[in-house]
Amino acid sequence: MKGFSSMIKRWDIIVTLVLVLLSFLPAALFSYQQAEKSNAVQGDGTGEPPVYVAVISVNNEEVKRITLTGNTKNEVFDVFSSDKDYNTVEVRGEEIRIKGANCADQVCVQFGFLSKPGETAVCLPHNFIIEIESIGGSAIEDEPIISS
Amino acid sequence: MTKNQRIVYIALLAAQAVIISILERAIPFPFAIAPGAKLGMANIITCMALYTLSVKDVTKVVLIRITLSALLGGNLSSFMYSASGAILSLLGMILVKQLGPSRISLIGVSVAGAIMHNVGQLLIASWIAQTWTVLLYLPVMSFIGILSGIAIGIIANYLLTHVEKLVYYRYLNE
Repeated sequence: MKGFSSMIKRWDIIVTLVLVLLSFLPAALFSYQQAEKSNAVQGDGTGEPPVYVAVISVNNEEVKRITLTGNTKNEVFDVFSSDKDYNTVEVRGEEIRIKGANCADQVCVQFGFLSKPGETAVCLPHNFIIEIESIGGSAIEDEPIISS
Repeated sequence: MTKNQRIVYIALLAAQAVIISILERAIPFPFAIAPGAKLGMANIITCMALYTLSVKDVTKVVLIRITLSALLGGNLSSFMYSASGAILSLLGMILVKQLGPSRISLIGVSVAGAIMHNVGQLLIASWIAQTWTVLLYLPVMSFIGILSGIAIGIIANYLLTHVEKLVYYRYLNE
């Protein structure tokens, strides 16, 4: 019986490393974009720290916005995506999660608590999404943030 | 391999892959860090097919598997999921295998397949959800993909070197 290490050849390692590095590409692009955004906001002279907002959408339509930064309340509510399908959302302080759902795969529950911008919890069977967005300075207004 | 043998062999592989993916659906994945992650044991069959059949026949095996396993207890979203994952991972594996057996082993091929499978699934997820932030889960998913890919590669390697018929078919294919 051969050892495992003798099975591995050089290109195995090269291919794996390249693919792993490529898998960081979206994350790198995102943080770059995020940095640009916060720079632009600071350039406006608002200077306030960014506010994190959880955006809940069903069927690609926004149904609810919850400002997480500075939130101290705990709440649990159901969001119905059709007559029978629902996702139970729990907000606990500055974190949000899908607590439960009546979908088949329960993948959405596994995402756990979200608190940082860019974190997402998706329930594909219900087309239900929670996204954390970072809004610089002026979170209360519904208008686009960066006005140039 | 005669034509009939080949057809039966393709059918056998596809049937095994369907059974494996249905069985696997019953196993909950214990790690909460990677939502939707699976072991991907059906990839054992794809690896074996890749080394014993022509590219055309491997594609047949994979297409039969995703169609049948979607019909046997899947739904539309899980079908789109597994189809995009399977097709991308097949493409990746075929490409990587072109490096030749002296350079790359089954482990590399199966790791490439596992990672490309995740890429395909997350692409579909971000398309359905209309947000590409889903792709930020890619590093976690590819980490799990590497682990399961290595395991699957080792299993497939043992099968290909120890099951007599597979050794013979592999010899015929090369």
